[in-house]
This record gives sequence, C-alpha cells and structure tokens, in this order.
Amino acid sequence: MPKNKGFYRQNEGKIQYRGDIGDPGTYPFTRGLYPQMYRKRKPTIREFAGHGLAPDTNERFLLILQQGGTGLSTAFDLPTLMGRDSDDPLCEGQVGWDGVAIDTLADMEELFANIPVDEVTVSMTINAPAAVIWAMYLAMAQKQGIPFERLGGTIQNDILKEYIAQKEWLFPEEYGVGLVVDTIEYAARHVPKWHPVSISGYHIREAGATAIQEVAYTLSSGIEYVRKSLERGLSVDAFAPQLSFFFDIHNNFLEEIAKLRAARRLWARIMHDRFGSTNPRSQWCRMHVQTAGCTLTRHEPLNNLIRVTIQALAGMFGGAQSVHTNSYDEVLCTPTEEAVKLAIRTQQIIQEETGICEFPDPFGGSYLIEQTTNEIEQEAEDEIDRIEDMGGMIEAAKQGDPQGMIRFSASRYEQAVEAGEVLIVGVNMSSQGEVEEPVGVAEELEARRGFEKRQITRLKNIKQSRDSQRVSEVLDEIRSAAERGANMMPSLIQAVSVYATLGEICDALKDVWGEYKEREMFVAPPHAAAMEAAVRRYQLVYPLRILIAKGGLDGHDRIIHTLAEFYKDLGAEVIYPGLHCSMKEIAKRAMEEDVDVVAISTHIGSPVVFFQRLHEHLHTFGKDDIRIIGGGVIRSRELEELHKFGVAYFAPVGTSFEAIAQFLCKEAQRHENEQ
Amino acid sequence: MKTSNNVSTTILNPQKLAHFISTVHENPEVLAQVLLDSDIPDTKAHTIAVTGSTAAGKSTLIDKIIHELRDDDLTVIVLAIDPTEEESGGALLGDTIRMRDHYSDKGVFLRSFGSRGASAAVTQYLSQVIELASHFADVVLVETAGAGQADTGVKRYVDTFVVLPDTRSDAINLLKAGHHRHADILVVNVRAGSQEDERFFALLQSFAQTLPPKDGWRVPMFRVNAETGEGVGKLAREGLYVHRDFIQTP
Ligand code: B12
Ligand SMILES: Nc1nc2c(ncn2[C@@H]2O[C@H](COP(=O)(O)OP(=O)(O)O)[C@@H](O)[C@H]2O)c(=O)[nH]1
Ligand SMILES: [Mg+2]
Repeated sequence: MPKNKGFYRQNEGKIQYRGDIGDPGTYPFTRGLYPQMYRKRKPTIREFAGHGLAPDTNERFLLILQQGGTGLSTAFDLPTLMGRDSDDPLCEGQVGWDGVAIDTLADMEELFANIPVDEVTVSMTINAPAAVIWAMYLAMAQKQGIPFERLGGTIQNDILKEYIAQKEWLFPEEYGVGLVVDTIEYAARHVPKWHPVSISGYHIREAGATAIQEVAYTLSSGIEYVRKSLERGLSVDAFAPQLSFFFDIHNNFLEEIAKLRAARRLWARIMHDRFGSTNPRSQWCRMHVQTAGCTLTRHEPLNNLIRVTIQALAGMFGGAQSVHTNSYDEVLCTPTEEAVKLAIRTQQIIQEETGICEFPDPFGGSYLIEQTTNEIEQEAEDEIDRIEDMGGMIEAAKQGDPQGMIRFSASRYEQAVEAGEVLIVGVNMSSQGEVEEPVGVAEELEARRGFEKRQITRLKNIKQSRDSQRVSEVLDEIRSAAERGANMMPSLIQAVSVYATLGEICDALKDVWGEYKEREMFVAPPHAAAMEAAVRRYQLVYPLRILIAKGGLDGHDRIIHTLAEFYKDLGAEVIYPGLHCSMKEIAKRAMEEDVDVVAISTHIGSPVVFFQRLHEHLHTFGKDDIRIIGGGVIRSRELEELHKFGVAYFAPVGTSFEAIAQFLCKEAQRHENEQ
Repeated sequence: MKTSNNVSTTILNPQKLAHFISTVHENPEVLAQVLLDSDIPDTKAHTIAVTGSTAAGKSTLIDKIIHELRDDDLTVIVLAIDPTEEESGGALLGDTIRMRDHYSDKGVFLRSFGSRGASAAVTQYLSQVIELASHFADVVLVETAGAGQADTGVKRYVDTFVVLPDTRSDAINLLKAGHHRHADILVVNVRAGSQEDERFFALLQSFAQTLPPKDGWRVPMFRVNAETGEGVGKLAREGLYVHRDFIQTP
C-alpha cells in the first residue's frame, strides 16, 4: 500500500477518465473487460479440488457441480506435478495426498467419467508436465468422439513462475518455455476455446512477494511467452486472445482491488504498445483469482471464513472472471467436504444476496483507488523494465533475480509478523493459545493413508495390459521429435494414447533436454531488526550444526530461507542441500557433515512417513544421536505419532520464531553440558 | 545428465571420517592419536585447493571436477569453507548445494565448514583436517571461502593450488592479488556469452606467459565453463593429474 496516508484529493494525482480509466469494456480495460461485467455473467465459482485416485476426485467433482460450482479445477498430487509416476521412490508418502494421482490416460478417463467435458470448462493446475497432461485430456476427448474445437478450459502451464516461486520444474528454462510455446501454438491452431497458459502471480505472491512484485513478475513472464510465440512465427492476434492470468487476493482490501485494475490496464497497454496487437481480446487480462492461503491461520480456524469472504469481495470488486475461495481448514489439509461447501456458499452469498454484481467497478472514480491503481501500475512497470533490461524473464530467472527479490520481501513480512507490526487476529493478537482442529480432518487423514498402495497396484495393472512394444516406439518418437525441435503435442498425444505413463514420457524428454538444476543461493535478507530481540536473547552457546531440508518433492521453501538466516543469526552453522532430496540422501549428508540437528520442514504429504524414513536411514548410518526436529503442516494425530521416530520438536504453522529460538538455545546448552 | 553412480569405488568408513573430522577440527592435537587407528589406511590422497573470490564459480567447478574424477574411479572428499559471520558466529554453508549430483554417491564425501574466526578463507586447523582426510580417499578437494587478496595460506597445506581469478578484475588488480602468482594452475571460468570473461581470458593468457617457471613447473592456464563442464575434463587430465605426477617425481 502506498506510504502516503493522505485523503487523496482530486488534485493530488492525475486522474484522467478518458485514456486511463474509461468505461468498462473499453481500452485500457481498467474498469473491467466487459461493458456489463457481472450483470451479464457472474464470476465462475471454480473450486480447486483433487485427492486420492481418479475415481475419488471424480466423486468430488460431481458433488461440486451438484452444489453449485460452475466450473471444475483439478488439483494434482505432487508426484504428478513433478512429472513422476506413483511408484517412483521419491514419491513415497505423497501419492494422492495433496491432489489426485494421474499416471496414465486410464486415470484421466476415470477422472472425468460422467462429466460432459464439451459443456463444463475444466481448469488443470499443472505446469512442468502440463503438455503431457493436456495430451491425456485431448486423447480422452478424441476417444469420446468430441472434436477439439468444442473443448474449453485452462492448463496453468506457466513454467517461469515455477523456477521463480513454486519450484515444480523439470527441464532447463529454454526447453521449459519452448514446451509452453508448443501448447500455445497447438491451441491456436487446433483447440481455439482453450487457454493454454494461465500466467500466474498467485504463487509469486504466496512465496512472499509484494503486490507490486506480483503484478510485475507475472506480466514480465507474459511478455516472455508472447515474445517466444512471436519468434515461433505466430502473429500476435492469433494466440494472445487465449492467454489468461491468475492472481492472489491478499489481505489489504483496497490495495488488492487497485492491483487487479492496474494489472488489467498495464497488460492492455503492453499488448497494444509493445506488441502492436489490434484485437481487443489480445489485450484482455482475463483473470482467475484465489484468496490468499498464506493469510489463513491454524489458530481459531473459523476466523478464516471471515478473511476469505473479505478477500473474495476484493476479487469481485476488482473485476475477476473466476474466483476460488479457500477453505477454512487451509492450514491443516486439502479441504474437507464440509469446508469446501462453505467456501462455495461464501461466493454464492456474495453473488446472490449482496447486490454487488449489479455494478461494474463500483470503486472506480474513488480518488484513493484511482491513485493507488496509478502507483501500482507505475511501480510495476518500472520493475518490468528492469527485468527487460536484464534480457527478459528467462534470463532474470536464470540469474535468480526475482527469486532473491521475493525472498527479501518474504523475510520482511515474516519479521513484521514476528514483531507484531502486521497483526493476525487469534495469532499475534487476542490469542488464546489453543488451537482446535476442525471436525472431519482426522477422517480425511485416515482415507489418505490407503491411496498410495491402491494407485501403485493400478499402475502395475495398466503397465501389464498395454502393448509394451508400442510404448517403447512412441517414447523413441518423443525423443526424436524433441531432438528435431518439433512441436511436441502430436507425439505426446500419440504416446499417451497407448498408455505410456507420465513418468516415462517426462524421462524421455529429460534424456534429450536434460534436467533443470536448482541454482539456489542465499541473498542477504533485510536487516532483521524485528528479530533482533529474540536473536540476542537466544544466542547459542555453541555453534550447533544444522542440516535443514524439505521432505520428498515438497517445494514450499518460503520458510526455508527465513529459517536458515534466523538459525545463522542465532549462531548456528546451517547447511541446506536443496529441494527434492530423498531421506536417504539427507541422512547421508547429515552423517558426512556430522551435524547436531536435522531440521525438516514439511508442508506436503505424510510427515509421519518422512520422519520414519529419516529415522531409519540415520540409524543405518549409525547416527541415532542426531536430533531430529521439524515444522510445517500437520494434523494433531500425526503430531502424537512423531516421537516414535525420534522427533524432538515440531513447530506447526503459527509457531513464533521466538519459540523456535528457545528450543534451539536449549539444545545448544544441552550440547555444551555434554561436552 | 551425467551422474556418477556408474563407478564402484567407495570411501571406506565415512562415519569414522565424519566423526574424526569434528574431533580434529575442535582439537588438532588428537590428530596423531587418531591416525594410529588401525582402520585408517596408510595411503595419501592428492590434495587440491580451489580458491577465488565469492561467486567466481568455485563450487560449480568442483562439482564438475568430481564428475571427472569419478569417471576415472577416484574417490573424492570435498572440504568446503564458507565465512563465519563475525557478529553471530553463525554461517550459511552453501557450497555443497552445487554438488548435489554426488549426494548419493558412496565414493564422494562432502563436508562444509564455517571459517570460525580463522583467516578469512580457511577454517581453524585446516591443515590437520586435510591431513586426516587425505588418508580416506584418492583426492581431497578444498574450497576456500571467497578469498581476499594475497590469501595464500592454504597453499602450504595442499599439493596443488588452483586459482580461479575474478574475471571482473583488471590487469592491475591481477598483479596486486598475490595468490595468482602462487598458483600451480590457473583456471578461467568463461561464462557463455560473456564478453567480459573473454577479454579477461585473453588478458590472463598474456599474464601467464610472464610467470617464470617455479622449480621446473610452468603454470598452465585452462579455460572452462563451470556451468556446462566444458573444458573441465582437460583441466583434470592435463592439469591436475599432470601436476600430481610432477610433484611425485623425485
Ligand atoms: C504459500 C503456500 C504455497 C506456495 C508456496 C511458495 C513457496 N515457494 O514456498 C505455492 C502457492 C507455490 C503453493 C503450492 C502448492 N501448495 Co501450498 N500452501 C501454501 C500455504 C498457503 C502457506 C505456506 C507458507 O509458506 N506459510 C508461510 C510460512 C512463513 O509459514 P510456514 O511455512 O507455516 O512456517 C511456519 C511453521 O510451520 C514453522 N516451520 C515450517 N517449517 C519448519 C521447519 C522447522 C525445522 C521448524 C523448526 C519450523 C518450521 O515455522 C514457521 C513459523 O511459524 C499453505 C497453507 C498454510 N496457510 O499453511 C499451503 C499448503 C501447504 N499447500 C498445499 C498444497 C496442496 C500445495 C500444492 C500441492 C497445490 C497443488 N496441487 O498445486 C502446491 C505444491 C507446491 C510445491 N512445489 O510443493 C496444502 C498441503 C495440504 C496438506 N499438507 O495436506 C496446503 C496446506 C494448503 C491446503 N490446505 O490445501 N503453496
Ligand atoms: N552462467 C554461468 N553461471 C555460473 C558459472 N559458474 C558459476 N555460475 C553461477 O554463479 C554463481 C556462483 O557460483 P558458485 O559456484 O557458488 O561460486 P563460488 O562462490 O565461487 O563457489 C552461481 O549462481 C552459479 O550458478 C558459469 O560458468 N556460467
Ligand atoms: Mg562456493
């Protein structure tokens, strides 16, 4: 939010109705993409859902449609998001846990059984392997005799923000972006109602970026995709109308409304001025929004309903085309049925009972909103120019620049919460300490434990019944298409049709393109004045050696960097091995480094499985004396189990840094005493 | 992608090594006693230090050197040093993240150190730690923390002193910076497409020719791309191995 806390008088800023604002539905679309906006078409209620095996999620989809959802949005499990099969060793404890497991076309067919895919639009949150998953969807439609022209939907498929924020990557940047352009080209030619990429600020913001960084990096990525598509020989108006966007809706109500308006205006100008598009549809920043998961709390979870309601309102005042409202049990697990229902009801109540859909851009013309819109646009544009000067987003991401900037902002935010400068009701103010787990969470958890075995059996059966000769032929064809630099879509569709698995296909591509290699680096964080008190009070008497890592394929690394810095400031020697290490690798590294503590952060999958494996591997290396600690997303039942695997301390979401420091300080003391 | 799992040689007793390093790092006097342990072989590794300023690409280069050494069936220990922060006494030990291809390789052992108040680029009792490690593998690679000028202390502890000069440096700095003159091998990390790096390479090439041979050793210079590994095979076989053989000939 701008620092200026004035009254925003008419003459304090430049407010030009014509040119900068304009009527809804007219360039530069500040007030909305359509003249009538929600009067004519309410935002799509698109709830993100997926768990277990395909039939489990299919059941949930049918329920969502029956309860009033008007579009579908698929959440895949992390193994699928990482282009790996369910039987891959690194996927243990994660199959079907946080989304639906898809290995082959057979799974895709069951996922959409009894759903008229030519009538319902389907969004799929998938990125690095998006082209393969889309190929499965297309092959499924082909088998049902539905022509591609009738299919409507979205694949997220924004690989740049994976390198920057979400950390689900497969191939080096050039090839990753090349594959995205393949889908843009294929959609432009064959699947005209499809959105082949949803350029996402959501993940960037949730990783800790500010509103301005969110707008800037998202649109910078957009510029890169447009540029690469033009280089492919497409004309701008042939593909740009199919691009779409995805933003976060954070807590600052007015800033978020202005942010969406600014993003819309800036994108329209970029497409018009930089790329010379003449079709207004190419200039539309059509947007899906989601309420901000990172603002939701474990303490007093029902408070989350209020937060989500306010954020959803901001999204609608900002003119979003579709909205996902988070569930109040956000911090515990992927949503339970009860919680999803309330999330849908929230949107229905806003849409039907409040009357706000009657007025497009109701905040337009407010001095504050207009000037804030101007400021966000201006600052975001400066940041976009800086990225362009570096050579564009691919180059900037290679240099780790946006990653570093986001980390800096995240660290600053975490510190502000710790210092009480940012208040969170029920957590750092009016806290009653207690956390009670919402009903249904324990049951949900029980169901998850069985998914992995079932899916692996399913995969085995499919592998046995398919024509393996054909499979190796189509995989060869994929390698050869990749080598030729051909558009990959035809060979992908051919490959999935004979039940080549997602993992096999991605591995074939890795054979040719290689793998992305994490270029992690620590950046100097902002001065941690807010943490200083804790840091001074809990200085370690002995430089504890700590290995800090994530479990399995988990890419939630926002906390990792803040925590590593924090531990260092306390006086520890901190080693971070990078993402996606197996527990065996972590144990070997811990042994070699002779660390005192292994600290595991888990947000995804079964924490119990991770700690159990770690415990076993440390034992094999003869390192039972290493202290195991952890933190992240966990349910009370799992928390009770952890001590069996030697876990000495676990900090669930919402734990203060002071408490974390306290534990470590005691640990160093203990160590010193033993010496 | 090349991984180094195709070789069978392993480091014996890594647990013991890990433990002894800690012991010696805290108290160098126990080294002699530790070495009496009958499990410790009497062999001696080729010890190499790689030095250069922060972000010169030392860790990235070492990752690629490990690949080459493993292709030749040599076991490797890396001792990587990062600066300890003066104020807090803590440190972020971030070198080994660039060596992750080798995490599960039993023939590679990676160990990180905070400099803990020792002179900027090394850690306390480094010579004793190197001496200890040299009994456990074929090659010991030491990565110094971003070295300041003339920080050549580590040279005395190793057989081969590899210097990765800062490509942003100019000729004057080059002459000022003492450690370049102490190098046994000079390596220039030429990043793809960087004009600056190319210019520096040319500059250094003429500089290297002015260095007089030391005890019959003429300092060779290698051009690599640490990121892609280009030129690193040559560095290993025509630089590191040749220098090893050179110092071993009486
Ligand atoms: C931010 C976020 C993201 C960002 C991550 C950005 C990034 N690079 O970190 C984005 C948007 C990319 C993302 C993506 C996904 N996410 Co997410 N995400 C979250 C969210 C909203 C907040 C996590 C966070 O960073 N909080 C802020 C930090 C500062 O706090 P924290 O991590 O909780 O850490 C605190 C403590 O937990 C503790 N702590 C944490 N780790 C450790 C370790 C140690 C050693 C110690 C001592 C302490 C400690 O210290 C901190 C201070 O108290 C959570 C829900 C929530 N509110 O917790 C979901 C959540 C974790 N995500 C979830 C899911 C499912 C996903 C996806 C799989 C979605 C999908 N299907 O596409 C992907 C997977 C991404 C990946 N590569 O792994 C689920 C997991 C469900 C489950 N476990 O049952 C959650 C719970 C949301 C939900 N209910 O569905 N996510
Ligand atoms: N493009 C490119 N980047 C490199 C190269 N070598 C190192 N880097 C990057 O430069 C940064 C610092 O490298 P690192 O090996 O950690 O340097 P060190 O501090 O000397 O150990 C990292 O982000 C590397 O990925 C190179 O040859 N080319
Ligand atoms: Mg390094």
